[in-house]
Amino acid sequence: MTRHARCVAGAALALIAAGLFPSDAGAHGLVGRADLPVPSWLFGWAAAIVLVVSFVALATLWPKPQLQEPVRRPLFRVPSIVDTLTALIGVGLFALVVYSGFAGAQQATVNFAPTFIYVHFWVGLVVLSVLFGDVFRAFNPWLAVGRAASWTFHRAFKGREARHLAYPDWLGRWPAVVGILGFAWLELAYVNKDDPSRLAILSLVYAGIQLVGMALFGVARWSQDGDAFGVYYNMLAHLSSFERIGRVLYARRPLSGAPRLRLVAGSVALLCAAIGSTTFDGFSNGPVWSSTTPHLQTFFSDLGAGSLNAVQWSSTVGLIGCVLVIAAFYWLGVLGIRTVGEGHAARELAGRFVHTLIPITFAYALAHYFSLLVFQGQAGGYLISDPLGHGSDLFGTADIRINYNVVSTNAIWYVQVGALISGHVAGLVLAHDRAVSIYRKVQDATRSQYWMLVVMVGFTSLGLWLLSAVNQ
Amino acid sequence: MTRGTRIALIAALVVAAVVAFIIVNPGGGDDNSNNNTSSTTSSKKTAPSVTAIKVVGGKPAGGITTITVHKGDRVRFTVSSDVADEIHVHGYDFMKDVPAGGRIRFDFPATISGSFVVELEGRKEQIASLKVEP
Repeated sequence: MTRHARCVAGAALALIAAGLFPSDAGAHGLVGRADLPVPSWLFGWAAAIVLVVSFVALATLWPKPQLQEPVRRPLFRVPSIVDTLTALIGVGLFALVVYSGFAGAQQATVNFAPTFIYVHFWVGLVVLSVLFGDVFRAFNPWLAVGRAASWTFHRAFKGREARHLAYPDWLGRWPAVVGILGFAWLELAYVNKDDPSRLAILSLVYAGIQLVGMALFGVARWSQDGDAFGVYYNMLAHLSSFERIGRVLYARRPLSGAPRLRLVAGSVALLCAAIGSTTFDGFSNGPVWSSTTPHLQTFFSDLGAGSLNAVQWSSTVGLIGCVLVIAAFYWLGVLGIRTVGEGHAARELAGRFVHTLIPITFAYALAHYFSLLVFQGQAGGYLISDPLGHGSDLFGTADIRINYNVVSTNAIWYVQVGALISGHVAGLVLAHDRAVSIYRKVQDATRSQYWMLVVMVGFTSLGLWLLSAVNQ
Repeated sequence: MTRGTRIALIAALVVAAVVAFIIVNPGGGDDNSNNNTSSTTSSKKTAPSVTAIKVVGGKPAGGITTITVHKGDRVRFTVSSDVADEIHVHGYDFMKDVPAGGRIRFDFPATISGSFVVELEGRKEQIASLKVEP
């Protein structure tokens, strides 16, 4: 309980700190175009496919685990010059974000910082991580700075070992949970989310916290569990077919990476935070939220909040509510699994099945942000030539305009629905494979999977509903 | 897994497929009729008539208007306003100034599908939602 109390206190502090920022500017969308809701015929087909796939999954049970042991083959050695180059590019991009945030035009659409942070970094890296593995680790600017500092320390004090605090077990991935929730709050609730100079300040604050964490606990230890973005992209990279160990890049069997997610404190919370915040992004565009939020806003106005603050607090409540609903639903499934044979503890089961939520997290992210990436992502073309929005043309690409016809609306719908169905299948496959590795009797494994089926069908239906409810 | 449960599951699969088909089929029918109604409403809104949006005190009178058209149709609407501001059609990025007490007219082909915000740029106030269906 004390651990939970600590987390609640931390979250409350973060919110209070955020409340100290004045909120004068209105929120201005980066995006010119929003998705149309998935039409009912496609919704029907998607629901039918999910149902059929689920029963096929149950009928084609394999009795021995197939994915629990790593099957990989080495591809090639990564030369150390590549690491140096990617680290320099990462630090350079970070510097460009901060510089354009402070020095550039304070208008979201013409400044490099907001589009780079919300589109290329937050969404682009999700896709890159799943396709190519932990790409962010190579480009991570604060990790590069931390490593350089540690290298300099070793050169300067030859033979002296840097002393670090022991990273407490109970802390686990909780710093990452706080970081991801904080970013989701920034993107979905904060009224000044697009303000370039504030984004620059927050980027510096985040990098500063990472450097302090690395100084206290050691560069490797802190990046492994504490750096929210590092942890998040690394978690998604577990879905990738590529893995880097030391200097060697390996190819591995699809889905054989996810079962190897390390089980540390805060892992369930991290996945629920990621799924819950995407859920809120969809939910907040829908009719249920738009009819609820005025009441919440009135409530906060009555408490003495200004109108913009009331909007912000109301979204905060919605965001936390969505994360809690996702967590509660997963725990419901876990409590169901617990009723099946052998008497495993709920906490143990929650951890052992949590990697099945990684494909759901990716499916939600792709379904919600695919069009943002393909359309607003093109803005990178002109922003890189004119990062400050002052009319420069560094690379001759300043005249590029977003082509909204590169992908048709139908194609977007198919990607959205395809992502959710694939996530559903991957989740079921991972859950079944883990079940047959946990339970001695195949019957128990099967019975435990009825509950996982409920969880997966629930998440997939919610995902479909969110897509269909958007903007209606 | 015993042979019995396997057969039971496959039977359940068949039932599910049938149920799914039944669910989907009327859904498809509904959708067709939806399409028809929406196309009639959109043609009502677009081809001959022009949607009129009125701004009173910097806010859209009667709430946010939804303009629905199909890709390839023309988008036609007017904005009359009692305050001076700039009208911005997002995505298409058309901007026009409207003087206080004035009226301006938009008429352009719907070349991009999706949902777009029309707003009073200075006040950051959404006045209409343009939906272009594929």
